[in-house]
Amino acid sequence: MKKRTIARLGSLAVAGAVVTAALTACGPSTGGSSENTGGTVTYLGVAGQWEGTDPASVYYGNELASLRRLVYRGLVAFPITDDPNPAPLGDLATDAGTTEDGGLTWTFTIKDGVTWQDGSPVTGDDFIYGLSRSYDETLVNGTGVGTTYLGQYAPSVVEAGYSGPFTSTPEATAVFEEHFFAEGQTVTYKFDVAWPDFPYAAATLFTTDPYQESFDDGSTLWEINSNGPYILEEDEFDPALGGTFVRNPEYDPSTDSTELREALPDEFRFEFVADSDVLFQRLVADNGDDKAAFTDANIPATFYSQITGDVADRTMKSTSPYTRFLQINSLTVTDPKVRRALAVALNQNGVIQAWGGENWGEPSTTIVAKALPGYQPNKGFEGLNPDGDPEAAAALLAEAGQPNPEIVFAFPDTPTNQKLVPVIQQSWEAAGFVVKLNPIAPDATPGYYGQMADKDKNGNKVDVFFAGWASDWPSLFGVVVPIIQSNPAGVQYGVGFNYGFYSNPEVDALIDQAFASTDANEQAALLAQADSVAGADGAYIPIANQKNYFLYGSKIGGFLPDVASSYYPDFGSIYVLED
Amino acid sequence: MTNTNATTVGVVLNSASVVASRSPGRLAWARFLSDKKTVVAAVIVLIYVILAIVAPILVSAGILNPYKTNQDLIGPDSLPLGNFGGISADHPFGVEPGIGRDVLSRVWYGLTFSLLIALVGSFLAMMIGIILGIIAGLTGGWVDTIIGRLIDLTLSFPQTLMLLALSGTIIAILTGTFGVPEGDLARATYVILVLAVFGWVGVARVIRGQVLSIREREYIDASKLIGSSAPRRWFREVLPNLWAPILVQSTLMLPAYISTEAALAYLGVSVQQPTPTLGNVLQDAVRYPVADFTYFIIPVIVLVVMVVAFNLLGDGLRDALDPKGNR
Repeated sequence: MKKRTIARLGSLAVAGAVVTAALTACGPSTGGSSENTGGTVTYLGVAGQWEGTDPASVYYGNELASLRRLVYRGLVAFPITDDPNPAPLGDLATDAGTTEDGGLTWTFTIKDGVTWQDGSPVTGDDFIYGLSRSYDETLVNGTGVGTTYLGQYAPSVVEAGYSGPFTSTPEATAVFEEHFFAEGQTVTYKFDVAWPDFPYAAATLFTTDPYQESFDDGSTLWEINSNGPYILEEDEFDPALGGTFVRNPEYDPSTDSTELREALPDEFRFEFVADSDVLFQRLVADNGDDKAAFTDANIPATFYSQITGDVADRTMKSTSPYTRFLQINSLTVTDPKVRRALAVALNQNGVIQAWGGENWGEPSTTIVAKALPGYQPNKGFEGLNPDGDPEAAAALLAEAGQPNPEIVFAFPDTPTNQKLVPVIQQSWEAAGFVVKLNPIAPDATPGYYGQMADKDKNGNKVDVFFAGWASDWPSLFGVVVPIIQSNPAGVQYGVGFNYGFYSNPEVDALIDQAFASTDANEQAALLAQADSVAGADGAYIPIANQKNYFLYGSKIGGFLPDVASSYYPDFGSIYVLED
Repeated sequence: MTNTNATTVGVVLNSASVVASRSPGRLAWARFLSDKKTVVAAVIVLIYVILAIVAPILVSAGILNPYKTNQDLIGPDSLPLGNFGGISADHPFGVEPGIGRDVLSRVWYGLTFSLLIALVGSFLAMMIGIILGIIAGLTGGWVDTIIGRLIDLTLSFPQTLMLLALSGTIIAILTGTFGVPEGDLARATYVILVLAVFGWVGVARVIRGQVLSIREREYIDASKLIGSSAPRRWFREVLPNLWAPILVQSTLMLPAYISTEAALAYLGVSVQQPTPTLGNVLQDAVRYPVADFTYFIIPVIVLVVMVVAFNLLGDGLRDALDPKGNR
């Protein structure tokens, strides 16, 4: 592949002006055209954060977002757009899927002419093989996301003991094949529970992505077998250093759409550095190749004073799908009044200031992010004072007859949390709580969430613990259901992320109604209602809706955080500006 | 003339008699007082020690409050409101970015913990070093060889790397097997152990050298001839002659340990927040060299002044106690 060097601009001032002009002229949406084709875009990240590039193992939003645009085309994908509520479009499939029974059965037809990087066609069987790999715990590599949702919507496959293509019994495989099968270019998914927004999940997650069986040699964690516009130049992606993506000669743009990927640069270079300070120092300096560099990390508060003048012209703020909250162990904190007192006393603004201030996030009343279609404030937490109200909380505690309940608060023991925790602790103590801290070491085994997911919290008494969530696809189903639907009996963890073991028949009934409904607006309304009921019951303690605050180089164009990329910058639209 | 001569002679005689009556201790004291920079350093060290002693009293009296967060003093950009890191009458050193804890209280109270850890660590290191040094120097032979090899082994150990790698395991052993309460106490114990285990080497070498020269003196032979026991010779005859190098070594070791503790806290091995030490205050402050320079520079100045003062004091004491050396 040809590599074009980037001509250097004379001064920062000129560089800043070019970006501003380009953005205002083209609007926030895509500004790319054939003139902007070519060049190398550098993506700067922090080393050691990726957990794998095998589609079965990828889970973090930014990793899904970048690989979807560069190398892993799925059944469907979200378009590049600033519309907050886009519908998925067919990607390797001809359209966004059809269902005639309200989401129980989904069928897709695979396009002709789509190929793997070795030139062989992508077939229906590749999709079934890819799906089967999402059941293999070794391949899933600990994230468990595919298995979790598949277990929720097709429980009979998990119950039959299906564990992927390598280790399953013939009986379990038969159950799997009854649910998911391909006939020629048609792929069918039959769920036990209706999955009305299945295409939304398929667009974001890689659980249903195709996989070429002949490529599967047992050591695929860091390999990339592309069916997209780029291929990995190296044999393996390096989680410590990164990798280089160059054009895929087998890629046929006529099978794809510029709505999904414009694929303008000739090369994407993923460069990982030791820590985010180094990364932002380079972006602020804007020298050489770094002029065509960007990151999906947020500008840390310690850099705010350097974001002035020309540098400020190279920033973009956007909303974020992430919410931060505290989960309550409802097995130990049983009184709803005590649970609500924790929420009422909490100084949300104080916590947000400690985290990074108004650029970092804003107070929230719910676990649902504002960016999600159908978002509503949680009516159960209406009138919550973001500065905390210790008197009102003390009154609630008095009503509950427990003026000084002891609360054990668990959190990952990181420098950031060590600063946040005193704020939370002191706002609870002001209301009369006796707070005991239980810091979990970063290298603890099992890890933090592994411990929280355990019913007896790994032998510790834990009453309240830190949590954060971003819906895995843009729908309330991706957040309300996993967090507040009661866990099936006997399941310790794995299905759902309800680590507080919250259980409320009223909430479950509303969620069931939402699954039964076929109208998206009604579904969202029912789920928001379930959230409000849980809020009035003190199911969790809302803290904040995060925000994004990005910085990029002076020669980056088409910078757009959108729904398709979980509000990380979209790799499909980004390009190198001409001089 | 005669008179004048007599007076002169008288004066000479007088001053000669004064000099003659001075003990070695007084001589050292006079040399110490004549060295202005050492006196200044000693005063600073004294002030630091007094500050470290009174800090816990002030904290329990509520005058210093290193733990209380003050969100009302923090702006929407998470930095302190006002100029120079939020310096005000209530917070003369400003407040911590993000959560508004009083910087003076944290630095002052942190000083106590840092000094305590360094003091206990250097005391243990000195004890081990002195005992092994005396034994090696006096007995000689295979004992000396073994201790010498032990010194070589300790010196060849990749300290920093092992410290970081072993911290988790050893802290787990401390809390599990020895019942040290988990958390700051266990971490402080680990740091103290580390300082002691790796610090005695230098002391042992210096002491051994000193002992080798002392043991050839006549009074030791005399003591031996009278039939005194070996421990008596070690601790009653030799040890008193070692006080000067011991004093000098400890004043030089202490500042080194204060810095080491700060470095370990920075790497996350020592005492962690919310308990302040100079190291973990610094660990947070170094993130703000541009955003909040005041917050960054104050703990740095406090640490640097203390370490320099201790070092100058150590050098001055060596000059005063051992005028032949290093001049």
